Amino acid sequence: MPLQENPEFHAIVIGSGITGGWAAKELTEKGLSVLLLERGKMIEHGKDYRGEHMPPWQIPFGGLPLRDLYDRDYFIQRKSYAFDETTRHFWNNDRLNPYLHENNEFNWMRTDTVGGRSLVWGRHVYRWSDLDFSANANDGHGVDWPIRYTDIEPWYRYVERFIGVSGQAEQLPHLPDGEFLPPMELNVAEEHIRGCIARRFPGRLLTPGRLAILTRAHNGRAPCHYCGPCHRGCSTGSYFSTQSSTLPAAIKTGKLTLKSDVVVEKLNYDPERARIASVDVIDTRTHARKRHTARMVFLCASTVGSTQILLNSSSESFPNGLGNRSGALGRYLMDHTMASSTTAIVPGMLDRYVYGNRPSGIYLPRFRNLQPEREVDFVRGYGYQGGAKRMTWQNMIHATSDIGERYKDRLSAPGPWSIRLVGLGECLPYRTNAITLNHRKLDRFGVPQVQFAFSYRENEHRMVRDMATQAEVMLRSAGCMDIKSHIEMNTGGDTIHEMGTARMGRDPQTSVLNRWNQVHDVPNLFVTDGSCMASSSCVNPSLTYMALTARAADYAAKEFKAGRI
Amino acid sequence: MRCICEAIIPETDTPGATTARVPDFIKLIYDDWFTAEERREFLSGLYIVDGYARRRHSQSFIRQPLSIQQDIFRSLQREAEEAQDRNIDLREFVATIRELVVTGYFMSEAASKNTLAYNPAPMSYEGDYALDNVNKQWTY
Ligand SMILES: Cc1cc2nc3c(=O)[nH]c(=O)nc-3n(C[C@H](O)[C@H](O)[C@H](O)COP(=O)(O)OP(=O)(O)OC[C@H]3O[C@@H](n4cnc5c(N)ncnc54)[C@H](O)[C@@H]3O)c2cc1C
Repeated sequence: MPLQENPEFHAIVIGSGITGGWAAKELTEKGLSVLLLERGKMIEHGKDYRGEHMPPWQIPFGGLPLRDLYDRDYFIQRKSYAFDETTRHFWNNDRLNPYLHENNEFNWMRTDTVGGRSLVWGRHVYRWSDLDFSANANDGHGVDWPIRYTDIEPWYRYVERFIGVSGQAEQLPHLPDGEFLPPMELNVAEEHIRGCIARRFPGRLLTPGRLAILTRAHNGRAPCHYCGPCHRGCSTGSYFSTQSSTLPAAIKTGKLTLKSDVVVEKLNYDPERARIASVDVIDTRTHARKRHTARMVFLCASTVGSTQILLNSSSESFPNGLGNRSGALGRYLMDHTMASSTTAIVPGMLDRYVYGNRPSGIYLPRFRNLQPEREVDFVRGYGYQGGAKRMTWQNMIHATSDIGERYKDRLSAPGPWSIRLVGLGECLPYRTNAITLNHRKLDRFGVPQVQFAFSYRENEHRMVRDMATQAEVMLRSAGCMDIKSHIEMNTGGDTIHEMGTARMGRDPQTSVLNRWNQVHDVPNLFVTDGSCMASSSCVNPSLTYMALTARAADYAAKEFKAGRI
Repeated sequence: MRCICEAIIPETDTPGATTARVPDFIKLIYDDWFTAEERREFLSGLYIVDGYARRRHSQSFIRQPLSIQQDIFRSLQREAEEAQDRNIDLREFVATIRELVVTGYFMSEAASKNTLAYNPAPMSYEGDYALDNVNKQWTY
């Protein structure tokens, strides 16, 4: 289909999650008319947060899982800690939206809503550094990133100023400080351990988690009221989500058209102009098909969603998937390992407690391979998340075999301080960790299903063992007791930091996107979600996705105004 | 059932399992959440408790005073533990009932507001707070 002289919109943004919300905000604020397409249903800010502030006694079946229903309709999504009856209405129905993975090697965790996973995400946000951006170049795994920290730094700052990030400046070169609101306090047990680690392990540090949650009023949003479970939705907009932040900003411009309940099937390429000419969509309720036109397209449908669309948009010009002259499309899928969990009791401090439900925890940044190291048998590194708390009745049901008054008293009082350190490890980009389309298995819209092939390799396994050992060493030195590590390699996708499959690179022969997240050879198509990642670092990725999206939107708008798009 | 609930979590200066309507919770679980197999196992567990009461105290479980009911439950639990793998059913029953009673209790409105400290909008966070100020676990 040829490019239209007068398209309906200046830009079409596909997906309304963390990155799509940003693309819509940036492009509309720069004066472009934007059509935002989302396959999920509408979730109105506040009104549709059905589980928000639901008191314990109203939670169905005391919070026990509805096993028959979950087994039938949510057999993948139920694996998330954030999935339960207070949030189920946000999540994808696995029966209606199947995918293929022969050996159960990938859990594709996703929502089915306007706002995407911004509604339920964990809100941890960390900057990358040049340790990350130059990792591929330095050790030869994957292709070199076409950008460095200086390219993205202004955009980190720009994004942080808008979303609001609480955190503590620590002057670590490999985990750069951001524009922080005051941090959420560490509790006494964490302070104790922070002190011990600082004294005994030079170069290691325990710091409050850096979170897209407000500790004071910011851009018209109220500070956190410390009710606790953010993932149920927050009607005061105290954590960053599409609904609380980017969507209202985009709507305010008067330039946004939002369509929910439409799934993008494919993009149509005009070989004469070497541009995307139109976007084909299917109404998820009526299955009616429609075509939309625009001068440019921002693909923000999440790592797997965007790559599915590109793979499904083959044409004579691109027989192996749109923008796939390199053969890299669909390949180099990554996620973080989250396979080691170490718990312990922190003795004492029994007269100390906390006030308020802090919806966050701690971060213990990477300390491995900052300089080439001899004592480890893996490349790259890991960080820990977790935190300390006083045990609750849930943890103590079987702690004693007693019953009666003493049992009741014991369960009603806070238990001992316990701490948990969970390692999140960098995963290398492997060519055979990949998604493809299975043209014999179609979904209910007639779109070929995604098929995953994924496994962690020796480097990830070695790193996981070190995570457990080092967590134990640190906790032991801090006087902790009853230290236990649980090591079990997790399934790909479990950490919900899936990325790669349309990587950025310097060379069109080996990558899909250039330094502006623009598809090589297709100047009016930008892919700015996690699929663009050429490596994975070990920190939570979404802040980087947001910064790359804002940066790409800035570039795209300039190109548009210069008449080049 | 009501008696077992109260034996595990009795009324003190805070509500007991009965006041917190734990038996209703367990009935709901029994009717609408358990599988047929679980219902069968649960019922046979209750019969074991009652049979034990009749053998040792020559009267049904519900006729005993609370302290005897608690003794019965304790000794059954001990037996289940000592029997190791020979008595899996009883051990599972004892664990299940404990979990259900405790969950039903602490998730209830009565316990959330009286036994624990209920504060749905704390408005601030302090990581070093004197336990004396509240002297209970927070409801969550
Ligand atoms: C429980 C949980 C905790 C997390 N914690 C963290 C954390 O602490 N820190 C962090 O950095 N990240 C975290 N993540 C990951 C984070 O949510 C994602 O990285 C982020 O949402 C990705 O943004 P996105 O825009 O690429 O995708 P999404 O937010 O998933 O949005 C993509 C949108 O595109 C839509 N879409 C897909 N296909 C189509 C199609 N064909 N047509 C139309 N629309 C389509 C989807 O429905 C979705 O709404 C967490 C995720 C979960 C689920």
